[in-house]
Parts: sequence; structure tokens; C-alpha cells
Amino acid sequence: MLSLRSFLLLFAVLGLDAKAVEEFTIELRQHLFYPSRIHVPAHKKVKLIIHNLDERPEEFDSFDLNREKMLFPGRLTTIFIGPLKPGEYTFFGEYHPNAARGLVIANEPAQGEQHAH
Amino acid sequence: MLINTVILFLRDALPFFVLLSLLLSVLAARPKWLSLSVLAGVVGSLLLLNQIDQLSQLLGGAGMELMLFACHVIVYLASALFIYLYLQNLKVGLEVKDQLATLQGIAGVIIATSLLINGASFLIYFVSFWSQADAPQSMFLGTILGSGICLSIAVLLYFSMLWLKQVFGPISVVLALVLYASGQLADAVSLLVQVDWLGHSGALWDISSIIPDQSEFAHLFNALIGYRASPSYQQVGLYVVACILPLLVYCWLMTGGALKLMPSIRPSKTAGRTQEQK
Repeated sequence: MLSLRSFLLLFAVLGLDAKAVEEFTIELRQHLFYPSRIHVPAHKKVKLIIHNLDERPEEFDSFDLNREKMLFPGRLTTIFIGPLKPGEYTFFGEYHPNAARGLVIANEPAQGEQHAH
Repeated sequence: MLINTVILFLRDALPFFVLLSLLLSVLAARPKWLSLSVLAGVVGSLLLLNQIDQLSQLLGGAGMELMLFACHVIVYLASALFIYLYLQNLKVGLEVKDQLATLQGIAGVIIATSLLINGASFLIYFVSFWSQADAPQSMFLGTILGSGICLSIAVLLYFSMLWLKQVFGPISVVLALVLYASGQLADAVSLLVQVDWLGHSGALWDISSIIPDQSEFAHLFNALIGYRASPSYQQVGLYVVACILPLLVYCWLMTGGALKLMPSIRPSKTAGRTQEQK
């Protein structure tokens, strides 16, 4: 019979822990992402909350981040990214790839910010 | 809009066309089952389209990802069963026609589920943007071009598979189907990671400088074998296990386990002849 410890271990392995992650909000307006450049800490999982303010759906897409998610009109959509290595990661709206473009910039946390959360 | 539509076809519809080629190269029969399974997939996509907004909000916004991952699991399991029955037929000396109805039924499930995976997002795109001023013409042309490219690749793959089957035997088609199903399943792991149902394990390697994920070759290889320029440890692990497992189970069943579990499938060359004589 599985003990509580086994369950906790299983959850830890699956990454289902309830650790708080930093949140970043992005708005989609007129097929443009605001802000289009998001600075996130490197080596940490972060949560992107995207609010589609357009009247039509869009698909958040990123080859660099390996993410793809439908953004429904008027809805808040959550996408988890990272932990990322320091660098730049592009994302775009699949239905308007020329207009809806953005950049996630993962920065190395400064000394002393390692345990900010 | 024209280019967007073509790219959408290359990214989302190409895996479906590849799957059709692989299945048709095994079931070289009049594909009546094909129309039925495509119809089931389209109806399923329309039903999903109706509820997709609500579904995406379920379980803290993870509803859509979990449903899609479940669909990928169904496709993989059905493909594994399809491969097992196909190999079992060959082993006991039966022709595909002897178990055609079963294989067609499983192939139908695979096709309908695969269509469901991308069908709804395709429909959302067309329904949402068709009413825009100059969209219908561009989207129509994009559809013609996109489906033309996908169809060309599918026809080429179909005849390549028939040739490979003739030269190297049925195992070539089996391997192609195993690689396809495993690749699609491993690729779906990112769905769970993006909604935080699975932790991110980091990339095992990164060859995006050679074949970047956004290139045409990457789209093609992704459709064929689930290519990713920088796959995670989880994706590679699942891919390897998913590739090996159906073949191991088959070997085990055919060597010793099968005789203990299912005595009726004891390999016999007379079985095929008896069926044919009947």
C-alpha cells in the first residue's frame, strides 16, 4: 500500500508542487502584445498571464519556448515557462505572426536575489 | 492571411496526412472506413468547437491541454494495438484481409482522434477570420496551397512506404508507424509542462542551429518522427520507451508469454492456409 510519503515523492517527481511562481501579465490588443518585451529571471519557472482584449481568438506560439496555446477573446490564459537559461526567446501570435510578436528575456538574477521568493 | 493559412496547414495538418499515408500503406484496401473515420473526426471537431472556450477554462486553465494529451495517448495506444495485430497476423501466416475489419476499426479510431487534436483549432481559425474583408480569397488560396503541399508529401510518402515494404518487408511500415506515434506522444509532453502538470526537465540537447524548429524540414521531421531541436529529458525518455514498448510486448507475446496467455494464437503456418481454403 502506498504511504503518504510515496505520494509526496510522486508529486515532487511530477513537479506538482505548489511553490509560488512569479507572474507576468501580457495584454493582446489590436493583434499586438503589450508589453512586447518581458524580462523574467533565469533558472526559475514563471507564469505568463495573457489577456486577449481583441474580439477574435489568437494562438500564442513560441518555437524557442516550445509553447502553443489558444487565446480566446476576453479571456485570461495562463502559460508556465522556464526554468530558462539566460537569453532571448521569441513568441508570436500564430494568426498574425508579423504583428503579434514579443520577446521573453531571461536575465541572470543579481547577487542576493536568488531567494527573493 | 495566405501565408498564415499555408503555415497552419504545414504545422497542424501535415502530421494527419503523414498518418493517413502510413495507415493506407498497410491497409491497401478500398478505404470506405476512411470516409467514416474522417466524418467522425470532423463531427467531433465541430462538437469540440462548440465547447472549446469552456473546456479551456476547466481545471485552472488546463482543460484543453489535458484533453489533447489524452487524445495523443489514445492515438498512441490504438497505434500500438494496430501494430500488434498486424504483426500477429503476419506471424501466424494470415493475410491482412483476414482481420481487415478489426484493423480498419482501430485505424478509424486513430484517424478520428488525430483529426480531433487539430481540427477544432483549424475550425476556430477559419470561422474567426473568414468574415474579415479580404480574408476569404486569401484563406481559400492558402487552403489550396497548404492542402496541395500536404497531399503531395502524403502521396510521396505512401509510395515510398510501399517501396520500402516491398524491399525490406512489412517491418519498415511498422517502424515508421511506431516512430510516428511515439513522436507525437513525446511531443505532447510539452502540453502538460505548459500548464504546470509536469515539471520542466531541461533540454537534453539543442541542435536548433542545424535544423531550427521553425524551418520547413523541422515541420516535416516533426510530422514524421516528432522532431524537436531541443527536446527535454522527459520527451526523449518517453519517446524511447514508447518506441521500444510495443515491439518488446510483441516479442514477449510471440515467444513465450503468448502461449501462456493466449494459446489460440500459437504460430502455425497451416492457419493461414486453412483460412484461405475456407
